[in-house]
Amino acid sequence: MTDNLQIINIERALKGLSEEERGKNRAHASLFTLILYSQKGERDLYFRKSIDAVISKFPCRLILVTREKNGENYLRSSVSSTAISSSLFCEKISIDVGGEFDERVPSLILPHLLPDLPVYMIWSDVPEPKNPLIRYAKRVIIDPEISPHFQKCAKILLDFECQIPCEIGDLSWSSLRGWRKIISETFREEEWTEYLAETREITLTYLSSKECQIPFPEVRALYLQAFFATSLNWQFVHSESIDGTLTLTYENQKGKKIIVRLVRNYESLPLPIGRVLSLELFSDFREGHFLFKRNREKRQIFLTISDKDRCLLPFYIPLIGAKEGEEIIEELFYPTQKAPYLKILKLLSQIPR
Amino acid sequence: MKEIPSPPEKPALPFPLEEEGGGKSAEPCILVIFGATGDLTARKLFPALYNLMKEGQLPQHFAVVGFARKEKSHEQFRSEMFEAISTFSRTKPIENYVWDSFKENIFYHSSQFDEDMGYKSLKTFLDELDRKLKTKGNRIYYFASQPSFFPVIVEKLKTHQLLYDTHITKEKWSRVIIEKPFGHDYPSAQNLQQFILKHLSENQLFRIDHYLGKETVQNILIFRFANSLFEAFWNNHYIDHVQITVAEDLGIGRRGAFWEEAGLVRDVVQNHMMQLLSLVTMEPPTSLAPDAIRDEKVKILQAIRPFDIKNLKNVAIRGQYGPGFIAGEKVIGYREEAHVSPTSNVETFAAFELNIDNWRWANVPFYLRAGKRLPKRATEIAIIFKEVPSILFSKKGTKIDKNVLTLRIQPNEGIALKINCKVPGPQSPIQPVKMDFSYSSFFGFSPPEAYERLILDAILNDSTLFARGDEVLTSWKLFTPLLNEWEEKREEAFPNYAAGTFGPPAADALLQSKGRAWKLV
Repeated sequence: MTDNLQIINIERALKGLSEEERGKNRAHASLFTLILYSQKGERDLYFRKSIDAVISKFPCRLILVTREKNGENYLRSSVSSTAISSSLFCEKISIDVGGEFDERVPSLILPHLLPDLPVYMIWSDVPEPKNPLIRYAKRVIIDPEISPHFQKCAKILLDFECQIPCEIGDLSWSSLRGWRKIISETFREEEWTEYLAETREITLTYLSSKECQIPFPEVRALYLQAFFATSLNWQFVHSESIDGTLTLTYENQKGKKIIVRLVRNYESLPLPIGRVLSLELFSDFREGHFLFKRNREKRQIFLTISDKDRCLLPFYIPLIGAKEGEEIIEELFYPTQKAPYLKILKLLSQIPR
Repeated sequence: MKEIPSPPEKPALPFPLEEEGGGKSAEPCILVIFGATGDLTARKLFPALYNLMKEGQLPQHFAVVGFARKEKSHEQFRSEMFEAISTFSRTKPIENYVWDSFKENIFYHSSQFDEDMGYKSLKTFLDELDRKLKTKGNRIYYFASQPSFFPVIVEKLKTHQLLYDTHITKEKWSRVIIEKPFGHDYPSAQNLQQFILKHLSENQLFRIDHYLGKETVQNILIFRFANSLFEAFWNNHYIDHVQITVAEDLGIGRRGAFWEEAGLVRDVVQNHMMQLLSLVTMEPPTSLAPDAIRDEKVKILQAIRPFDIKNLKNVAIRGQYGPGFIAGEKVIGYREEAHVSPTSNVETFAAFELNIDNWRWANVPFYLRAGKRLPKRATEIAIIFKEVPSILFSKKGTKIDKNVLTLRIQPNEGIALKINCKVPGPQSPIQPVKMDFSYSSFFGFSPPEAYERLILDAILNDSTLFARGDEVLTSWKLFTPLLNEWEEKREEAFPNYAAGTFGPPAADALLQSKGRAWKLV
């Protein structure tokens, strides 16, 4: 074995862990296998934090693969345990891989997928349909924020969806469940339906950073505006980007033009990059104005509604799915509805960057 | 006054000091191992004997004689066996108090297998041991040599009165334990059977299939017939299909020459897998007598539908491993292994769909797969139950996993049942969970190795865990047409799976074509 290959006997190490934990009166708990493929760096650290939140509610065997695509070839593995409670623990297998040794990773993982239980993969990278582990997965959950070219990513995801036998999940899409729910429930009320139908303009503000490590922080904002567009059957006309603000033009079924702006906000806030901070909808019907604004500190949306004749008292609505790890839990147990999601991908694949 | 009836008389115990419920005592005997310098003797037989000795299971008057071609002294042989036991025994460290008495009863005899003088001197030696050790003339001959020597050894043993005719000799007994493979195909197995039965009777012959000695395999019958719960749904009303997997991550090692002659079907499928299949599918026996159990096993093997050779590709897949990665390490392909032809047509993987034509199993397919250089070592039997009717949970495309009962034969011996459960929370997503029984968690000691049980049973004359002649022949009858077909028709796609994967894509297609999939092991 060379220095670049530091692979332990994982099976033996897991047995050793189990004995050690048994000595502490902890039993092994696993509901599924969760494999995380991520690139080395900030994103990887972000995921590790989120996943700890997942494990505390849903113990699983965690397999973390941290990749460094360029550079020298290396492959290292280790195992550790995480105490869920005083009586339960679950296992973590960590694999660090660099360069061409990437092709060896499935052979390290395959023997350790828990039989009879679901296998989920989180892919924090450009999806690779040919990865040999995908056929064993019940669901592959994508992290589109990591993709530098979303149009390309959307096309890859559409192709991916056709090529792989399992379901696809999308962390960015699922993280917007709270927003979608609030928007949908607001406009479901008969009172506001016509305002929605006469939408003239939408401005979405999302958190970004000048030192942004994520190549594609606007993905959530894009998804959210696509939610409107696909639900209301708007046709995409064209887009332009000026000074970092992406402006998309749509046409509704009556031929009316709708402008959608995606605006970056560089404030220093205690929120992860990419989070949608506000959504403003302007309607031609009675000059309607809807402002959904995220509370910076709490998981709430502040909603104000006004038109030319009145201004309603603003109120707070809890924003679900905003806690760390919740988007992952969302995708594990409340998976993305396929048809609406595919419509969104098709729309986004048309938007040039 | 009415007389109170006296309790029924218990049958007299065979020996005044024999305790009730104490089990049969092993009779004094000498075990002669032919092929004593081989791998099997060192890795399995002597460690098994040592542990039997340690547990007090061997008869008080007992000896082992290693018989092989190499010249060596008793002391040299004892020293080698000490090393072997120290390396391969399941219990360590070696207890000196056990070894010191055991080694006094270990001997070595060298001769060619076809040399009359060798057998004459063996008889003299064994008779001498009988006088010294009071082993009463009882003999067990273990054929651990190459199978090609079996006929000549049997013949010589009989000729030199080392094997007794059971009709004539009553005061002492002789038995033969024979290792697989028993023949190369149906005709050769038949010939071997006929030849051997000219020299001894079926009840003197113990054909070893070491899988039958495994605790988890023996547990299959206990599980099925000591729990009323399972028999009720052990049939085609509830079971969708059964999967039996024997997966090895190792390659063929230095056994290239053997593999080129044998292949995977002969090595594993025709014997071990058919034993597993018969235990899972047989009808309850009328008693626990060896023949009662073996009768049922033969019946079920006879009910397996023969292969349709014209449509073989629909039910039988073969594979050969190419280069790949096992646990991150690069490994070579089968054709690059030592003593293997670079154009070899031998299979290192096989998958089948078998059907059993009887009332219990009609329309329940049995999917068998076995292979070398698969991602992990695992032997298991998975009973996959039918889907629930899609009435309650079919909305929004919710897919409910089928229940699966898994009997893990090795490693992580145990039993698991997959059921569906509600995920805590206001909505009702359904998550499969596993109820798991693991031997190691419940039974703190390491179970005996298969060979310990089997050798002891042969001494006790209990043939339950040994394959009977008709069992073996029925199994050969099933697979011989397939083997002939595969030998005749080369597989041009070989190698067709990379080491470290679960076999060729065609093996997946075998199940996918019926809307099923191999389960992860």
